[in-house]
Amino acid sequence: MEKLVYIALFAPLVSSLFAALFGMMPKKQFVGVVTSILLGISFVASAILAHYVYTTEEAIKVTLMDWIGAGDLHIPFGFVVDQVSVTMMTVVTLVSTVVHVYSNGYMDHDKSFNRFFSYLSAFVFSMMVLVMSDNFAGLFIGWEGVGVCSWLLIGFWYHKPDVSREENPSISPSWAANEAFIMNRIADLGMLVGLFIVYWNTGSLQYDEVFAQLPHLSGSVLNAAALALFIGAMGKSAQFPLHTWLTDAMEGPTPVSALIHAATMVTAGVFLVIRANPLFSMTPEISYFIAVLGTFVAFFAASMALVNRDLKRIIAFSTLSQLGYMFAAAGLGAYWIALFHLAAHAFFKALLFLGAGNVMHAMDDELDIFKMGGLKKVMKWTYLYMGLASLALAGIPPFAGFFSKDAIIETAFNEGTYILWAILVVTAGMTAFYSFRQVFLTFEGDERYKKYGFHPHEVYRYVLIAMSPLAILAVIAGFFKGSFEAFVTELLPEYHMSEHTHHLAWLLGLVVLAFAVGGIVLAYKKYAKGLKRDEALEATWYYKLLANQYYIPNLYEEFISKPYAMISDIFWNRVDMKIVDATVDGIAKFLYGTGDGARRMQTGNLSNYLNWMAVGAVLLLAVAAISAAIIG
Amino acid sequence: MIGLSHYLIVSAVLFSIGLIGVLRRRNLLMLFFATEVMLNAVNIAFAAISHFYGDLTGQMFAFFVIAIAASEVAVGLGILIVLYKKHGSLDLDNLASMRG
Amino acid sequence: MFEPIKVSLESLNLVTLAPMLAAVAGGLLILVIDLINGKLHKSFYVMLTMLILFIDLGATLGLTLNERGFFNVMLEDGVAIVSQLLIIVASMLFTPLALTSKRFHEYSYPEFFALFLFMVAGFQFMVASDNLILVFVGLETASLSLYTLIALHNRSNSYEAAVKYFTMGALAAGFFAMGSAVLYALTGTIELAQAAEVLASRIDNNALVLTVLGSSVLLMVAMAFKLSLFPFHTWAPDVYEGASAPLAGYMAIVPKIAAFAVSIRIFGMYIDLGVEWVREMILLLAVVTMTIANLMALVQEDVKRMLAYSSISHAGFIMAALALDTTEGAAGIFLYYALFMFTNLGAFAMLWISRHKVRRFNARFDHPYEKFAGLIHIMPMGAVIMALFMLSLAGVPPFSVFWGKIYIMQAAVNAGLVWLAIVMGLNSAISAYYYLKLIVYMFLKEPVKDVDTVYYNLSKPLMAVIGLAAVATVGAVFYVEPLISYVYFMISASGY
Repeated sequence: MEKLVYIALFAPLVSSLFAALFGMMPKKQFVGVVTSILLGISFVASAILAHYVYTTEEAIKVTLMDWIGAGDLHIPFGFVVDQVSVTMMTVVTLVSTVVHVYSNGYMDHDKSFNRFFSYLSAFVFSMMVLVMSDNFAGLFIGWEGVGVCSWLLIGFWYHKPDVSREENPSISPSWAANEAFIMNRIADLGMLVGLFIVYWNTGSLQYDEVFAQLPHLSGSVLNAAALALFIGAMGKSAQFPLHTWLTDAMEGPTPVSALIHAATMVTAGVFLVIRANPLFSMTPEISYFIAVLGTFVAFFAASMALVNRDLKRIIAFSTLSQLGYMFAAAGLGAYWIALFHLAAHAFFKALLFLGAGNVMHAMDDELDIFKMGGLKKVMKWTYLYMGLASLALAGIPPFAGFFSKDAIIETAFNEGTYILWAILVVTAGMTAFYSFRQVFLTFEGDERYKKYGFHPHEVYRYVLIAMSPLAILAVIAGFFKGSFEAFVTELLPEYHMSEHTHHLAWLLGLVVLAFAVGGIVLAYKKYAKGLKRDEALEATWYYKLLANQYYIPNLYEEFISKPYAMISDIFWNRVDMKIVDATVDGIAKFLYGTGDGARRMQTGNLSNYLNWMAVGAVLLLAVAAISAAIIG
Repeated sequence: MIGLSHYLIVSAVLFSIGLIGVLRRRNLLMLFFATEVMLNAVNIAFAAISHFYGDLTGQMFAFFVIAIAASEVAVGLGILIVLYKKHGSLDLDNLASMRG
Repeated sequence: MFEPIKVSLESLNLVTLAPMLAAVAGGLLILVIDLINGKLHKSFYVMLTMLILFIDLGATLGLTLNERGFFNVMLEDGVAIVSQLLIIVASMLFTPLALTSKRFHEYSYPEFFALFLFMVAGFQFMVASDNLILVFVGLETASLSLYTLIALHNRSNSYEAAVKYFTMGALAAGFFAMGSAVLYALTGTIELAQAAEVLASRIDNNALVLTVLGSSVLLMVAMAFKLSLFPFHTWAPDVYEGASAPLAGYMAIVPKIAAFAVSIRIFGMYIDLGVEWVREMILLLAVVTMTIANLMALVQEDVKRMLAYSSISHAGFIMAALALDTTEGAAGIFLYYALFMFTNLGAFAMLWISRHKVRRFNARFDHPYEKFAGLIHIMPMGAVIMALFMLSLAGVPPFSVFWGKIYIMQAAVNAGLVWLAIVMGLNSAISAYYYLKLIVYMFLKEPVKDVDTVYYNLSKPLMAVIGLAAVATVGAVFYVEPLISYVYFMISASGY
């Protein structure tokens, strides 16, 4: 089994290095094929491991090597394959494999084809390190690794200039990449502080050792550690107020959005909370805060998605919203439900993104859904896939999203947090509405794209086939809820609904369903027949507020970026140039002058050189004599 | 009676003469002669000290110094000949194309 | 009067001589082959030289630690073995650099390789003995061969370089011989081990202070000349410039390793006997050398001259380790050279591939900074590798020279000389400036127009050597620990 662990972990690394070999060369088709196969191998290994863990109910632990051994700090570079990590591994490698195959088609005409695969595989490797590590240090390495890969991939088309849009501030891929990186850096500071607090108080970074020590720690220490770690999670999972980077990250290639910014990396924050559940369950205040924040983000992001016109950004907002759901569940103590929603969401959201990629491909990278419509005629399969994914997202039974999301909403009710419950129910309705607004505007109604001169066409057949596993899982994943619960609660705390909730379950489900169906019907009425723009509505202040993302990007620009630039400018011109630079220049000039002076002894004349030797001998003699006289 | 110190003084004087020659001379050939003088000063010292201690090593050293001096002359003159062919002079003041 | 001396073969212990004998016999073999067939290609001689060096290396590795032999004149202690290994490895890196794609005059003579092997043997004799006669003979054998090798690089500048080096070398030889004579007068022996015993009993005699002073200063001048310490360094920049690039790189390493081995024996003896002013002299020389050479490197316009001054500065840096007179310090010297060797030879080899056969870049210089402007556009891989070497020389972690620097600085701190470590750190900071200057030229400037900056002296063997040097520079982090423990073990085993 150990071998399988290594195969699952290192196949993506090998794949990345292999692709890197050809990084600077023009497109080589076999690079895409080989990397996809290697990722497939990693997936198969993960699946076998999952089966092994499922049947034997025991975790596999391997120690690769002693990684840091400095004094008392001893961090073995170890990996653990238990119920939680094997779930993540399977999800990550499955989605990654699909995305790799998909990218063969999507990046077909890109001249940096090989480089793309190198980055993509490197990302998968980092993600595997993140989920498989058996200690916080390894998790942090993976955490930073996925950050770097995300930066590389968002900025993949770094040569593109700024593009102004009606509703978004003008941004370019490189700008978006930097934004994502910097925001994550801010959050990572919190994460590091958390790690230090943990290490300081428990003397270890190994999960099991740390968790064993927790009961001996004081409440304030626990709160501080949990809060600091959660700040790290907020950055990676783009929770308010660090959420703006996620929508801007849509500047990257669409397979990247599907893999990194929907299915895997952004869920790392949720994963962290689930992983560290012993810590979070001992800090009820922080957990409640997480639940409230998650609920808020679920609603907040969904509201922005209602009016957005950008195909990918709508899905990005929906990702934010669903991450909010996951945090809500984790915050309320239903860790396994959060993990379940994480897995289910990975499938249907990746499918949704890949479908959006198909549409973009067909529409020459046009993203404005107001310019689409009626695409169902040319893109039957994509319509089917996106429709399925949207049904799953909206939580319509029997699709995957229904089971996972309904469980979260039920949890909110069960915990007696009725306000959270109400918000989540309303959000479910909003989710259904914006998902189908998008689907109908894209595929139904009048063929507006003809006006703009697009000639859409369906993508390669193998790409569609590659997407099919995700489609199937988006449909059926929910049926495994029972066995999934049994599987992961071997490790995670169990969560049961009370008698009371249990009795009301069907009613609660019905309420949610009513909202979801209501949202779909509303979307159908408004948009299925074609786009009729409602000028009056678009002119209202609340529409504008939502369309401009509550003006938060502008706010950040005005109150953070600009003052920061101003202060930097002052420091540069006043402090650095006038004081620091002048001092440094002075020293440099002095050194240079001395050098020039000393250089004059090098006359090139042999006689002078010989004299220097004699002078040196005399000087040495003098020094020796003087020090002999002094020392005695 | 001439003792060890007399020999050593002669040796030191010869060594100094050689050193001054090395420092003051401008002709490379003369410079080489001056280094030979220095080495021979060393030989006198070795022979005298060897006799003083009744130990043969000093004389052995002197023989090696003579051999080395001879090979130095051989190599040195070889280099001087090519230099003379190239520059047409042995004045070391003309020999300063590399500096700084 | 004298008894006939009976010598048994076992007491000669010829094994201790085997490495040098291999080199000398190899050199003679090359001369004989040339007599028989004068038309052999240089690559044959390169291969033969490599083979002989391999045998030499094997013989050195086969030595037993702390053996004496050949009338007790040879001393194969840890210092001797480590420095011989370094000398041979550096020579093996140097030899393939003869196989350039353009023909250069000196390599067409088989005598070049014969002289080269004699020089290697000379250096080996120098380090593997504590008898001043043998040290002197080895020193002169190596130096005379080296003068000739420099002059063989058939250029007006090379003759000038050879003459300068030769004349100053002759003066230094005079100082060395006189220093030995004074020491002999003082102790009645020229074997350092015995001299130390005699001196220990006479050191308190105040009447002898003058002779102790004289012997140490005279010997110090001779060694300081070999080590190119200020103000005895004046030959170095000119000689490096005049010699061919590989030979210049070689000269910055091998003669200095040999001279350091001798210095450890001689001056270590003085310091051990409590002659504190020898330590003061060494410290003064070290600090002045590393600082002034750094400042002079700062204002150079030619990369080769800059590298010359930089290696003077490095020598000063290492000289400071000698003053510590601790096992750590002595080990630091050899560790530093083991790490410095690859980087420095690599950097000089990079100059070598940019060498035009006859034409110079401009009237004064062959390798000015402008020549390397925009190298990243012309030869991207070359620029990156050269940048690696520069970063390593500047002491940027984790490249090889960094470990040497940090080890010596640590040794200085451990010996209680914190101020010395600070001076070393400051000097490393200054030196970063001129190394980075080259990187700036290579990466940020546009190539010079209308000037022939061809890099066509490149060939497979050169690529192999440079590649090896680059790998050793970058991968230092992986082998530095075993290297330290090996060197430390060898040095401590020989009692320093």
